[in-house]
Amino acid sequence: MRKFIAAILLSWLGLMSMDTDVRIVAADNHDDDKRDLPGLVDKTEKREEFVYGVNAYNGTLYQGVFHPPSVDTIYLLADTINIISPRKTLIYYWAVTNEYKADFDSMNEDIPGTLEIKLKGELVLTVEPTDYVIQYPEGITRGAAEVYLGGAAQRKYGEWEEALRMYRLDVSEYYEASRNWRTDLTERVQSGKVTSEDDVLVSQPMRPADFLYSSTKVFRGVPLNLPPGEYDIQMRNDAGKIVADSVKKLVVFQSDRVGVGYTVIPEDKWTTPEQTYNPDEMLYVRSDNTLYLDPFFESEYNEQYFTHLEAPQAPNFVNFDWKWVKEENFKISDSSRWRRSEDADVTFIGERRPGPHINDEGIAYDMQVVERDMLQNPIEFEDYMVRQNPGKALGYEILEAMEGLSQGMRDRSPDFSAFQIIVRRSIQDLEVNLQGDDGAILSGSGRTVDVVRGSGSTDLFLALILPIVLGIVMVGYRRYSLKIHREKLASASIENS
Amino acid sequence: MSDTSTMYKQIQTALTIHRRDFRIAIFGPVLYIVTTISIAIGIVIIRNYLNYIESNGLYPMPDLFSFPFRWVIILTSVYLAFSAVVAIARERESGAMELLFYGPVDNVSYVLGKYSAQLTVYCLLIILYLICFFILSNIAGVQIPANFYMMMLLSLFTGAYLISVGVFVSTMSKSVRSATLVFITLIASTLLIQASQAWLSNIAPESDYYNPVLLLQQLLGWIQVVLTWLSPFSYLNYGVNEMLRGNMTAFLRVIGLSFVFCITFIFSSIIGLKIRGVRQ
Repeated sequence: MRKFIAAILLSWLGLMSMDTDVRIVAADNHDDDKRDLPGLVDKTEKREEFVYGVNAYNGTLYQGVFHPPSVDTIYLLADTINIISPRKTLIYYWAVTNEYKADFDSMNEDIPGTLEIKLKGELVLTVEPTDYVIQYPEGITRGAAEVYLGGAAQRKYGEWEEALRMYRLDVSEYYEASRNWRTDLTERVQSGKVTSEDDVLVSQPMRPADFLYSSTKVFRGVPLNLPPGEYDIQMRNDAGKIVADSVKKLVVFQSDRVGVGYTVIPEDKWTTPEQTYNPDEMLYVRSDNTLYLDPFFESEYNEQYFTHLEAPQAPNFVNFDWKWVKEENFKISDSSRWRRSEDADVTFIGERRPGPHINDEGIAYDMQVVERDMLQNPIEFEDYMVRQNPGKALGYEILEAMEGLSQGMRDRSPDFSAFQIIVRRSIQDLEVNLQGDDGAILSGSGRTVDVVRGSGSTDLFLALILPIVLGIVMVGYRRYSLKIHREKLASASIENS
Repeated sequence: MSDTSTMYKQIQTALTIHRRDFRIAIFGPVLYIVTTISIAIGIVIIRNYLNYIESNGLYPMPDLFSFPFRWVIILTSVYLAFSAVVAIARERESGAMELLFYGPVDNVSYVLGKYSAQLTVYCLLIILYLICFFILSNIAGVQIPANFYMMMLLSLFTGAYLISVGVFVSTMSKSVRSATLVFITLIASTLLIQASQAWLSNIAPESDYYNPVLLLQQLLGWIQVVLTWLSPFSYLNYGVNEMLRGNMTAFLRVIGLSFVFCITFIFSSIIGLKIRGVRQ
């Protein structure tokens, strides 16, 4: 037994001493860090290496990352096009963030050859690099990404360039027209020809809509669209040899669950909303409270996989946790009543919040509310505006957009859009769900709103009475019965004697 | 003597040991002190949650009682496992075990009797905690969701597993001191490694402490993997998390594994006691 204890203690001591050693090494590293700081002498040593540049789809957009030789596994989402680009570049260690960086400006060579993909040791796919372009016709983070390959890539890039050229022309024309309009206006004002405000507004030139259409340049890379699995990849050059450092593991994964999350905005803290990701999660709320629930579409991934998809050089800890990732916003249920400024009945200048939406198929959703098994009136998705209280004192109020409009808040778009839930004092609990206009409940959208009683925190300690009383009763009973028993024994021994 | 009558005698002896140890446990004051402290810790955690909800307006989470209940149950099961360790080791050290083994007691009945006594106390305490959490639920106006009962079911198995570890350690130990030391080292190491690993893995790569503890992070990460398959605390956390995710297969797997480990440790205790002997 002593040997066993000694072994445990020794292993702990070993751990602690190992920690000490590492700290000493780290102290040296920190000296290096200081020498490597920007502004001081640049001592970063760059070396030529084979790397994989990866445009990995993360459920919302394509994220460009690179995998230096020190990273042995590439993580990609299944059933979507991801681009792997074999490159030769200069890499260097950046001690500030403890990771390798690539200097693609100094060197960015395409590696000719084919990418071989193996599953359980067997070659399942051979793909050659091709031209590709990634575009966001509605803007990055606003709409779905589109990937074009081969000849289509060149063509779509050409279209984008043409659209950009046209936009620049429009902007140029707009500035020209604005200059002319100002000159003309000044002349008309000076000559007394402007008689009303409408004269000015009607003739004012319209600014072209922002150019949101976004595109990468045409690059070369290997497009991959694989089912989930654990693969091995390697690059074979034109000479038929495996390129050094090109052998890596490829983990292709998919979401474990999908659901609807909510950004929950408390009325009195609208700038610090909470997120609820887990379907069927409880929302513990204070009574006499108003909440605004802004839904979004989400997917749940293995946290370690997803982290390494976005940051390949992140520490490789063993992690069995799961991570919900917000993917798409919810869309207003009816056709937007808020018009762009070019419409005839201008109410707001500005736009609703951008982004792709989960109900783009045309199904409108309302919030179904159940209180004490009774179905309540459905709640509609509405726009809200926040008005700062006048004066120096902090404070604001949240108004329905129409009300804000009626109170003169004209020159801005709604601050947020959400389902409003009023938690009255009499309410116990609420079950909320998103229900489509086809009557179906949107899976994974359910939440329970549990209204917590505002009891004094010391009241909770009343629960301690139970084990204390039980203990007193049990121990008291034991002592009493022992006492009786001893007395009986004593009287019995007296009788016997 | 036939096998049936031997088994019958073993069961009778085990029941006698069970009754005796059970009475010692429930009529002693320590159990209630530990129970009160455990619930008090749970209440402090719940109180913090409620204060946060009161000031913040809301707090989204799968179950408000899940985390405090886990703490309550961990403290209780550690105490019961520890009391099994002390009870068995003390009887060996004092020579009482040897004396019992001159009578009808054998290694099977002894281990089963000792184990079942602690397990019965544990089951009763879970019922007591359920009543306490009902009271808390009423005071705070917080509903107890269905998954709370599933968590209680899981805690029954993980607690039974931890108690079996305590019995095993004590049957293999020479003295109360060594048994106590080994058990406390095991528990403290497990909890410390889990806590350290969680803490270290949160250090960002940009932090000044990232490089110094990188090796330790990796090492603890791998130890944590092993613990995930062995530690009853990991089973409890993993099982509850997967159950809250709706992954009932993983939940049932954790229950199954806890049960298998529990049986393995009881069986090992019986064999261990036979090999180790009853003398100090």
